[in-house]
Amino acid sequence: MKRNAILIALMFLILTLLPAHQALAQASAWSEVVDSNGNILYSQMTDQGVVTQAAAWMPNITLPGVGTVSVPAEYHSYVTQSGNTVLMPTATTLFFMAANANQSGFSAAASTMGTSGLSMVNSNNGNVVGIASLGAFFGALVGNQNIGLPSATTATNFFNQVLAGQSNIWSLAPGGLMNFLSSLATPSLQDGNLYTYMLLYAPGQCGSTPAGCSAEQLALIVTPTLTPPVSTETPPPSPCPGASVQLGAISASAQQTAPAYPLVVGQDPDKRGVDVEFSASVAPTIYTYYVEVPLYDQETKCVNGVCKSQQVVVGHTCEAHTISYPECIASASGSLALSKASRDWILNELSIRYPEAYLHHPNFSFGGSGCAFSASEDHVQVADPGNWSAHIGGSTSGTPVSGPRSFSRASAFSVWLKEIVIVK
Amino acid sequence: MNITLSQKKITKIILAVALILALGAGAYNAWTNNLFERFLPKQELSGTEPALKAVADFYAPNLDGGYEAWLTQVCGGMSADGCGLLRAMYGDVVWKTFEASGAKFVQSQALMIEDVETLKNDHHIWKLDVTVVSVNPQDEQKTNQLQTYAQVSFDKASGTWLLERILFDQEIKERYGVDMGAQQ
Repeated sequence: MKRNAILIALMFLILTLLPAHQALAQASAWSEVVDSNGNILYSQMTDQGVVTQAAAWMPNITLPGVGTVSVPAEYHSYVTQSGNTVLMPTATTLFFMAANANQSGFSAAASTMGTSGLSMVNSNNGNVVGIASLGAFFGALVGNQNIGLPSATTATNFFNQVLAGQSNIWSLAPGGLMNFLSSLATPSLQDGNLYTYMLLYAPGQCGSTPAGCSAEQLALIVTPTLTPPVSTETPPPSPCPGASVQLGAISASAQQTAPAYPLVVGQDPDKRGVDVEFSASVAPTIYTYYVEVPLYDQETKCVNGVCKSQQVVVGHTCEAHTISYPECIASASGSLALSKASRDWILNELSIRYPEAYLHHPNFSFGGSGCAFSASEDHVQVADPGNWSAHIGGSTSGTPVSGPRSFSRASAFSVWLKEIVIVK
Repeated sequence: MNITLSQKKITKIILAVALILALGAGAYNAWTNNLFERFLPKQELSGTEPALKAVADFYAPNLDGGYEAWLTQVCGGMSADGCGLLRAMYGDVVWKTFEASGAKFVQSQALMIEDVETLKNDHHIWKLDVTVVSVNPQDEQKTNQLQTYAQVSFDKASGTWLLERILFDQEIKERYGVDMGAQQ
């Protein structure tokens, strides 16, 4: 009897807790995505369709003799009117995103909202106070620290409070829940995927999202948002220097790390192959601007014996301000390629001594992901001898004050062939 | 009533109590960590053929037969959940990789090396030795071997083991410390 009572109490507790609707909201960003009744505003967003992405954080399966196959990450992507990207990951993708929050970009999302089973979670970067000021919005994007269940307060009207910019709120079965779930079902039915969650990325992050940047987003990125308003009056010459942009340095490398003297796998009983590493990251771009600050002095004037002191402007000084804009690697890929000279040597010279000599696998390519891109592969089965080039190339996402940049780095290594010469 | 105990007897009693406590603590530790299992005789598993055949079929598709035929063949030895996951999550990408390889798969075999562990839901993890014979685009026949891990469940109705799924490389590395990429 007592046990039954405990069981019933536990079930009640679980049922009560399950539909927990939580929010860490941000003022107007979500108002372009969802209305106060919980309807998702698809008609007001640009549909980028279903996008897939090879991602190192998604599960891999090794197939004998074929290689490693990676399950692609899959999302439905939308762009809001102000250029934010809204990603709806499939249930499978969401699971692995959450399990690899940093690597997958889950933690980098400016804000997230969705359901988890029957519960609803909405969280964002606690530092972000609004999207009205793009500069402040980007400046605050130093990594989302508050993803996860917030230390919440109950929302009495969930969607209205989300739109009003309240943060850290949750609600039990809020009004508009069925509208929200029905709206989520629309692309779910259309794509044959289950979507339960939305991740919101700011325009400057579009390069690091799988759908990439739309023309509108690129225009938003390359147009500095901190330009002062245009005035019809001729402004007095400013004593301060103009604003400057110091682009963040791009660090990238592609290299063969081991072994010191790799042997073609065809001659190596251990099939050791080569280990390769590719990495790329970009330092924040620093925007420096100057504010003219007046210098005051005390001036005393005496009229008929009555003295009056007042502050007068005697000059100006310039105060420097800096804003640091983080930047991601938007896309990158690593590759290995046998040099043309080595290919010619195999096909022309080596084939004279070994009539069956041919190019086995002269190119390899490697995917990776992340704001700081990294990819590595051990035991790459290089079967062709000669001089190889390890190469990484890609582009950065850009910042509100600088456009995307491309980069390319390469290094060389040799793969050896044992030759036996019989001297009579 | 007075009970007289010699110092020797008191020492013996203390030693006996200490010994009982130590044995009890050891037994409790062994029980909570399933250490007794390794001393128990391993039960010979029977009815493993469907799961092993599903694994073998998974790694050696008949590309001429098409994707659906391959799924049907593999799912023949899988649980309904396992088959659903294969269809929904990774079957498509695995099939496309097989197609892109240009290889023709002529023979495959899966052998259970070890019944590694039993999960909380009574599913088992098997360590498997997989051999695949294929012919590459240059008409060279190749035999490739791979050791991998699979999650299987016992189907009481048929008295056979069914494949739930082949573990992903990341899980194998995390759980058993085996780098699957090193086998390639």
